[in-house]
Amino acid sequence: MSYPVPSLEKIHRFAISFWKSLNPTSDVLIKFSYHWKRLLAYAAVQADQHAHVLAAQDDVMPDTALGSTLLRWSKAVGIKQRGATGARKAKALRVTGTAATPVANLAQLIDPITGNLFQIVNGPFAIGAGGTVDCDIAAISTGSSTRLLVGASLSFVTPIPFVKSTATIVLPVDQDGFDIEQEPSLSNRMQDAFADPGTGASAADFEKWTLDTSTRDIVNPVTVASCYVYANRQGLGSVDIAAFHSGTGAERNLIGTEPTLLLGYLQQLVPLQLGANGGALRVLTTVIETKAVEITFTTNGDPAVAWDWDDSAPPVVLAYNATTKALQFTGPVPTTMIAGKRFVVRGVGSAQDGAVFTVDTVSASDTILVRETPTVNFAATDVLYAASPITASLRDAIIGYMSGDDIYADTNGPIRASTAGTRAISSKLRVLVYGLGPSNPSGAYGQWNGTLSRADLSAIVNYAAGVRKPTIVTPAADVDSTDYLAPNDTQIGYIGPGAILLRRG
Amino acid sequence: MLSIVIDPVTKDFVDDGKGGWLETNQVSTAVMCQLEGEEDAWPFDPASGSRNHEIMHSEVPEAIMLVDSTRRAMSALLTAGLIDQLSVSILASDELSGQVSILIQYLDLSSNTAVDMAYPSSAQ
Repeated sequence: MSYPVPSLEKIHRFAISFWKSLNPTSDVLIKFSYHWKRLLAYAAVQADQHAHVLAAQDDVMPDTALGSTLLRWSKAVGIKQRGATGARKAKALRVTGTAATPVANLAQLIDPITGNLFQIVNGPFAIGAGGTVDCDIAAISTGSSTRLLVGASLSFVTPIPFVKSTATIVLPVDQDGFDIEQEPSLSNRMQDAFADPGTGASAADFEKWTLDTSTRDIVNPVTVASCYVYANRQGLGSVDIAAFHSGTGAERNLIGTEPTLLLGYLQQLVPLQLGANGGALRVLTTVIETKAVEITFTTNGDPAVAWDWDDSAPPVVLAYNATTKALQFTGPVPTTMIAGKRFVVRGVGSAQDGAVFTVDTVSASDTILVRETPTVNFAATDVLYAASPITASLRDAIIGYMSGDDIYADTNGPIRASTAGTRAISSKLRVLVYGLGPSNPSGAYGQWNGTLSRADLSAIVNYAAGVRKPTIVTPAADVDSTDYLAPNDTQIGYIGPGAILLRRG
Repeated sequence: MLSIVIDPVTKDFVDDGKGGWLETNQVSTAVMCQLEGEEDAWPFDPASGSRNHEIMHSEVPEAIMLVDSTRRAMSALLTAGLIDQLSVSILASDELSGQVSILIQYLDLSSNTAVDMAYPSSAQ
């Protein structure tokens, strides 16, 4: 709009000028005069009308529409706002009871804190010889509140004989579990639909069909979080689809009959020659290739990002007692490494993932007690480094990037798109780094990045406030995932997070 | 400069009998706006007005608070060079009935007129 919208002050001056030209003797120039006040009130009403016009201008343009107008625009271009989803996780619910007791599929549990309902899926399961079994769990309720942390307790709605009435979460239930799609995400997808309206068989069409929960009243039987379309990979006219669940690492793979179900759904939508069984449309088997990342950085001296303790002489593990969680070093505990301080572990004698741990107690001159339970027990020759207050969030962002999440430039630092989706973020965040997709050598198949890029890793770490001089130790060079050749080309490789270690440079 | 006359009781404009509204070159309308307007209530000029409305509608209006509030409100006109020789004093204060009134005296500089006014006006 070329019309320059005047400020309230300008509108007021404009009104005063008009009034003075109409009634030159009127006292209107000082704020104590009645006319000055009245004209200011009129000017405020006019300014509000201008604001309304500006808001309407935003509403009528698809790139700025919000609220109900965004929903109307989205509906007009065939984009549906994604509903809230329930969280799920395989092997996350530890049920205790008498050995060999069956735990039925779809047995319901309730979270006593939130009231959310869950159910056991992919069962039935049977209590093992040790008196426990780890069951797959999925939320019946929806929204981010269905995500559960390790240690959470759920109660069976209907008690099962010989089974303890409460069960414990042993893995974070963090797959899916999203609130209703936030406006920025919906707006981006709607704008994509404008930019690439589809031709009936474009890459955007395949992506939209795969991601949508239904198309032309045909229900998509698989919940897909991200999708990549390969043209001509199997030969001219062929289309390969790589589809993923949300989550981290291998849990993103479609499992069981899901690829077949997804293919069947797509075959009802695609052009005739692709829709035939045995045709040129395939849903690929995704194969994870875990890669370790090690990054060192310094900080700017701000206490908010300072290292917890002085690791200039990093302690080396002599022994670890998994029962007491006592971690003994080959030498004395560093004097600055006191209770409450955080650390990360480079796995030398064991396979560590770079997670952040906390010193619970310094129990002896050469021994600390660890607050958390490691996924893999520490072992001799493992090396400890100091963590900083931003280590965990940076590590999470890198894991997100390597799990296909776009990384946003939040005001508090880099943040995973899936995390942003569970927060009430109403402003549009800038994408800092696009999440890693499956293999795409030289960008031959599309615009997504399938290469673990040192530049991307550096950008994520460097964006955090207070970080200086990030150095990518591992990988030493950019890493491509595998584009399998025939006869194995029904598979496609993708990079997933291995050990992600961040430490002082 | 002419200002529109507002009836202190009805808060209406006053018919001039010639098809228009009565106007005055006195500062009385600005005084009324200061006394009747509520301080902190108007977003465009929060300092305008007084606390008089709040004080007069309290359970037991206190004359001394009314004097303070009025003096503060009228001082803005004094600073702006519209009035001079401002004086605010208690005219009546009956704690039993809760009736209070004050006397406001000032020199209207635009008309060079000495003004004595009771507040609130007897009809209010």
